[in-house]
Amino acid sequence: MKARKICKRAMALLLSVWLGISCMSAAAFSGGKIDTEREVSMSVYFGEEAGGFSDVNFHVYYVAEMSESGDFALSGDFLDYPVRFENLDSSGWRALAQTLSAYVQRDGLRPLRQGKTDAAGYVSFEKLTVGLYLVVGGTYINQNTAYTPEPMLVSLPSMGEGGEWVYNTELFCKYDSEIVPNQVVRKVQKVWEDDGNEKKRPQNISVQLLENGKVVDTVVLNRDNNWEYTWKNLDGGSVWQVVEAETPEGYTVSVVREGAVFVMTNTFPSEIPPELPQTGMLWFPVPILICGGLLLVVVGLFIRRRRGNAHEG
Amino acid sequence: MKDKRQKVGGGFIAVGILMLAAAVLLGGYNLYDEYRAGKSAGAVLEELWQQIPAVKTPEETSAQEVYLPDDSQLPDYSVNPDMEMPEKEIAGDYYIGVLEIPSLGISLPVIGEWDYDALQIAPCRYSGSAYTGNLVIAAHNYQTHFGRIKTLSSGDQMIFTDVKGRSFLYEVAAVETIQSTAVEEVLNEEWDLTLFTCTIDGFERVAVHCLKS
Repeated sequence: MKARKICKRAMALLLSVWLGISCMSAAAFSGGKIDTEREVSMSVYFGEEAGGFSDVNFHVYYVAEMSESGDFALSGDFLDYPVRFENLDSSGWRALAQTLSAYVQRDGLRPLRQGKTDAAGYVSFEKLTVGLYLVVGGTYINQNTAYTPEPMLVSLPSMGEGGEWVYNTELFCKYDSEIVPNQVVRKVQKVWEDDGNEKKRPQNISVQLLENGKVVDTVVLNRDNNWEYTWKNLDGGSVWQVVEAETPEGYTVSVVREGAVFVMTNTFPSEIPPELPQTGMLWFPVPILICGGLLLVVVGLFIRRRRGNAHEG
Repeated sequence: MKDKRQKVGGGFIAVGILMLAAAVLLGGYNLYDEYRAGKSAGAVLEELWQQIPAVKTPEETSAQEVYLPDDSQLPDYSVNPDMEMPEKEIAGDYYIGVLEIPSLGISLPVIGEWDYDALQIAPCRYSGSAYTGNLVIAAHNYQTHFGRIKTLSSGDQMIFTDVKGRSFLYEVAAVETIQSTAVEEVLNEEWDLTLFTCTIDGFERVAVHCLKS
């Protein structure tokens, strides 16, 4: 069995800048208002502790505007993508970055900036405007091992450790490293987060498989295949992603890769119903009808008998 | 005057007889409905068991079945608990598995999505999943469905088997009567499995909360 190893090295300070996005809205007030007119920048490090990976392409996309209070609103090419920012934890932001990265590849969006890592593994992007950025890096191959950076969503400014806004941000790029296999398997699993709104689900969902950003296959997921599909014998040297061809109305989508599996979650905003369903048979009227009926019969007989007695008397 | 009183007495008797007849008809319908529900669930159960495979032990499973050409295994609910529960279609309804309550001697198929038509046939998933440990199942209070769950006691066991043949064992932790509006109490993720049905008067709900054992 080929060994697969996911390296998740963390430089605590730099990583906290990225993960800080998830709690930004709540913490926004502690850092004060954001100066939305100020220039911002980011420096990305891609490498191991022993040394950086050089000559790797990184693309930066402007995803959303950022308000003074740290709220986001999709912008430009990203305006119509069916995604949401509300109530995301760190894994939700990670999934969102992967989802948007796949859209970027499929739709061939032009990056706002691009650059290559230097000999030390750094690439910098200066003179940017305040906002939310998607950072997508290429794969670095050393001998037979591929180092693939995870797409990142970076808010500029970012939230520092002390809750202050950091306008010049340094980032450590998380990555997967694995021995390049000849062939791989990829599976997509659909998850519906729409309790109480199941009737709004479409009968089918089309999912596109991307090889190095190009659509190479489209499959249909539905109840009959348990909303999942597996591709086998895929080229191990390619980058594989999946995209939902059309997201059903009212839903948002998020795709995250866990090993060989793409978990594609469609979410519909749900509300707790006011009452549990009625699951009782109509038994309670039966004793009421019996008692009432008997009472009326007895009263009726009594009235008639009384008249009869009075007449005889 | 005398005829009028005769008529009043006769009217009382007539209405009373009508009410008794209505009681007999309603009771008869309920008994028939109960019989029908038991029979329909039983017929589905038989077919569903035939479609559920027996789960192989690790010794019975060949390496080829478990491991893919890739170095990673295909995931199941333990890798991704949020995955949709697989379903089997029988007569137009999609079932997620079988619920067995040995202490009541009942075994029932469970439909994946609830609506009032589906509840006439079998218990239905109200929310959650056996994989995420927050499964909620609703059923009518037919004696052949959930009509007797109020008699369960702490420690009673139940088994849910999904359509892939994987079984989940639960123990009753609490039985309570709740208001029909106590939705959040039913959806409480403290419990791995919750069953609920109407009380006999239909105004409240009996909820049985279980934990995995």
